[in-house]
Amino acid sequence: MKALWVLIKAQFKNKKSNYISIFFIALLIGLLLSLSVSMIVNVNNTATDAAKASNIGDYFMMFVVNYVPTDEDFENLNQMEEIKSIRVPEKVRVIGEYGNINKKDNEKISLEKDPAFYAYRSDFMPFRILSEDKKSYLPPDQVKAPEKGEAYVPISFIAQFGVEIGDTYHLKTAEEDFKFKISGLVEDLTQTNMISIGEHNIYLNESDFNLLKQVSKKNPEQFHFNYMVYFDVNEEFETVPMNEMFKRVQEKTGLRDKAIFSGTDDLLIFFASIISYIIIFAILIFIIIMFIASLLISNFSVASSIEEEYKNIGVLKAIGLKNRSFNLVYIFSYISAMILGFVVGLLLSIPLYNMVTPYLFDVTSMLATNQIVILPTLIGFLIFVLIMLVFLLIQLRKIGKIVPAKALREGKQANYSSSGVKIKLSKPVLNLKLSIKQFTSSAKSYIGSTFVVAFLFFFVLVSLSLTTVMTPDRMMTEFWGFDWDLITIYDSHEEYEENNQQIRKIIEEDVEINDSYLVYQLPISTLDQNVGAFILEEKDMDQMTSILAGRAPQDDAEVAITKILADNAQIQIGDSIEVKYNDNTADFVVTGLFQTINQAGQAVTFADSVIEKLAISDKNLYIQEYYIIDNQDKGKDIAKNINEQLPDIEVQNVVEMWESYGLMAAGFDYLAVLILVLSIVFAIISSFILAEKIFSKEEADFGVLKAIGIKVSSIRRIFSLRFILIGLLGLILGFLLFLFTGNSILSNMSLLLGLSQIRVILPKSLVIITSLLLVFAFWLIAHFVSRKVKKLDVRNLINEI
Amino acid sequence: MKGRLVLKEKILTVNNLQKIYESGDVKNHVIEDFNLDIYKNDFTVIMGPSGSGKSTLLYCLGAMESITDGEIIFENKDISKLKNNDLSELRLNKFGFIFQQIHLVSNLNLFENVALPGLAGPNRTNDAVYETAKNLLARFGIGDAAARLPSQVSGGEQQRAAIARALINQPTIIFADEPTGALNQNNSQIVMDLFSELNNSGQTIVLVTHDKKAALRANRIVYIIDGSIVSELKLEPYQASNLKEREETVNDWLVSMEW
Ligand SMILES: Nc1ncnc2c1ncn2[C@@H]1O[C@H](COP(=O)(O)OP(=O)(O)OP(=O)(O)O)[C@@H](O)[C@H]1O
Ligand SMILES: [Mg+2]
Repeated sequence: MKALWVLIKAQFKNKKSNYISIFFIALLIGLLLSLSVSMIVNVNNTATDAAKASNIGDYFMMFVVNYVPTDEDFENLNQMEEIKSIRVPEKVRVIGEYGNINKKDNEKISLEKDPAFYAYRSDFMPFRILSEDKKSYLPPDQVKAPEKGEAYVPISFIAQFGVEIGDTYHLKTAEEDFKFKISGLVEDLTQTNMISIGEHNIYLNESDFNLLKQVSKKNPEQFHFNYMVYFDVNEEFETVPMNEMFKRVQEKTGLRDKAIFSGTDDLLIFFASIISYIIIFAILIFIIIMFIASLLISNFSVASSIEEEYKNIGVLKAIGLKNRSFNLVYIFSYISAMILGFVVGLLLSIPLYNMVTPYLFDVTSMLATNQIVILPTLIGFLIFVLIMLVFLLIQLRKIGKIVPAKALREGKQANYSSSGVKIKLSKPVLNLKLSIKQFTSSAKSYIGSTFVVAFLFFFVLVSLSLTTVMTPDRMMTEFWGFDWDLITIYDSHEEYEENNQQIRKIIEEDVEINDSYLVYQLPISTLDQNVGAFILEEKDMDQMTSILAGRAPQDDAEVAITKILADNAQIQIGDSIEVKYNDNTADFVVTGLFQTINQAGQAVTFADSVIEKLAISDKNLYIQEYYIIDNQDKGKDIAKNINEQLPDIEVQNVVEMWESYGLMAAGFDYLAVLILVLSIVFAIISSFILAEKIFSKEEADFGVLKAIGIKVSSIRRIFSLRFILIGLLGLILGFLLFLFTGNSILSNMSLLLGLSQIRVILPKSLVIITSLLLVFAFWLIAHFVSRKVKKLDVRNLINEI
Repeated sequence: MKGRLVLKEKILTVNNLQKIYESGDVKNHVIEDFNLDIYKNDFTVIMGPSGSGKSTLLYCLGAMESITDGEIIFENKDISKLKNNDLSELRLNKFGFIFQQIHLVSNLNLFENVALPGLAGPNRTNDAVYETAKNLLARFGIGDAAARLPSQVSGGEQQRAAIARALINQPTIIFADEPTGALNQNNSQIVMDLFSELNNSGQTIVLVTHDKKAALRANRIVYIIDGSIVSELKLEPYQASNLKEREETVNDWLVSMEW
């Protein structure tokens, strides 16, 4: 036992760099694992708590615009054996006016969807309310409804519209004018920054809500009265899958086509998956590379240390040490370095996680607990250790094969096989030839490193391609679906006729208009859901820039739908779909699939002849004029000019629009930078370890070269040149990997945005620069490592005393 | 008799050489105030007990190791003051070094190992180097093994290749540290015959050895204890004929050194 200690101590002392690198890798793995697992678990727990606290139950239903459920419907629901209890809050949805947030500093921000008003009832569905410092939720006994004239809005309004307590929500319609002071922020699972089902929910005092109800009786066209339905499932039916449950509800109530169903579980899964999406692409993948890399490194270092210690092991065996003892020494020293690193990483993750949680709040609009989740992290790490152990044991079998007599005689295990490539040593470029010979004659030991470089470069490419996703130009042509720099929005044809000439003049004061066209927008229903419809004039159809398959619709029998809609409903080009508007129904042939970030991808496009075909009334139609101007950046100022001269006309400009996606864009950029930095740091660490290993393996040969008179600078070149080769090979492999998988990775991420695919665009110059930098860094590190040649006496190098 | 009357030309002079190994606080004075001349065409053998500093001395002379103090004059220059690149030049063109553990570059075959120093210099063409390497290998009886890696030939063959490598640039002096130390008797004989042959054709050789048989080849034997010369024996140039007498002389001398 004492002998083992001596050997273990010698291991740590002589192979310091091995254990330091293993330690740091385990540290990073522990840190990242703990961070990512904690995020997923905490967010999911908080979402579950939110669902429970607000009593939203297992399922909820929203009804289509023109259907108000009857008492009979509720009775049917109540009578279903599957359903335990239902809650039916009333709501008033306003069509056609979004309303504004009036900030305390008089800034006006318009909402992006129809508002739906509810009465907040703490006895009924007590959505949790954010405390004043935004650090916790109010305790249940302090939760009460807003006062008269006040409103609660979802927490996501903070990130979306910069709302603060004390701002005012202002809704102005032709006949009515409502102002509510925002006095609370509620946690509404259906209304978060990432997911927003239906309308913008606004919670009022009961008497204010009753007032709105009165208005809805007078003006039902604009103020739709309706219900939400939340219900719980009886215990014995809890395992019934969601789709099956929807089907049963539809069958028993006949509410097919009239309601949109959603499961609370669905929401929770969504939250969990959103976070995992973010993490999977940022961290989990990275953990995987780390994992592979650390396996490679430890594998390589164990293998090479067995090679180096070949003779020593022979000696120790000759004096009677058993194989098992060596295994113990190696396993103990590697595993303990790993455990130590992991523990330190876990500890570091605690303060780091606290730093991350505020951003989590922005993304999820929930206050996730900031406790580190240890058990799953530990399990993840144990799996890692076990795999490592298997690899170690495989390597350690080599020790069993060492025959003492042979080891003593040979002194050193032969490192080389004969070089696979036939290169005649000759002048010129003798050094390069020597380097290639050395590279090829032990090629196998570089395979691992080449793959590490390949993986790292792959992630560099992924991150670089992320930086090109969120740019204003791509936003419009690929993601919005129609190109524009400025949009003016009119409530009616008259308004358009009245103002459009003047607006044109205002714009042309500043820039030239390159192109302009009209887009009509309205909600319609098709494929069992409400979607946004865009209508373009037939001559403008070439403005549809994001068609993924097929072509734009040309006449009143055709429609283009988003790929997301098509995939969900399994519709193909050439199929017919039924479209409903008010009481009119018509069939359209799908001619093309497109994508748009608009309406989270729930959209269709028609040619303008559809207006007649479905008898769409002018009143429900937004008329928008899209302008493409000479200088995009001026859009913001122009919008301001228009707003000042014609305050009734709503104007949007790309720059601001893009800024409103800022969180997303910034997220992509952060991700990119994070991956890039981590990749490069890791590239440097691993190439350093690799270079150290290879150098110590070949040290004696370099000593010989020095002894026979080869210049120090030449020897260093012979050593470091091959790292350029490894680097280049790795780059090529990484590039190929990206070529084959990059598209699908980006496309998976794009689902988050409601898009079906994001074309990979690599910033060419950045890619070239980073490649060159990587190769250069590789070379530089190798060059640095070989400095020993300079310092050491020859006798020391060749180790002959 | 001829040899003794000719005034010999000094080609390497060691003045007040000092070599201290330092590891931590411990200083190991291996060589202290050492003086020695090496003469052209001589076959100088250095002997002495284990740990007396023979190898250290040889490495210092061969420009393989830095010295603590003193000077080593070669071609009117103190080589202990030379920079890394000049030292390389010296090792490449003027000195040939042969190790006990042989030390061939393990991923180059014997031919490449021999040719490498020739190719590393700027002056000779590839073909000229290849030609010399081929001749050397053939002369040393390892022409057939030329294409094999060091790990694929015997120790004796390796050492012969190492000697060929030391000779490829026609060095002024050859240093050899127990070149037969790792070889069996038969191979030792072959290698030592090579040394004699080289010396007969005028090659200056400095050789460290424990092997009495090897020492017989010398025309000068220097005995070192604790880093200083304690005695020196001069002999006629080696000839295979008068071996018996020579062996007795050396034996008696070594006995007097308490060998
Ligand atoms: N790098 C070193 N650091 C410290 N001491 C050293 C070093 N190299 C050699 N020595 C010491 O210097 C002394 C002389 O060593 P050297 O190798 O010259 O002896 P040697 O005469 O060649 O012995 P041998 O006949 O056994 O080869 C020895 O005591 C040795 O331990
Ligand atoms: Mg020695």
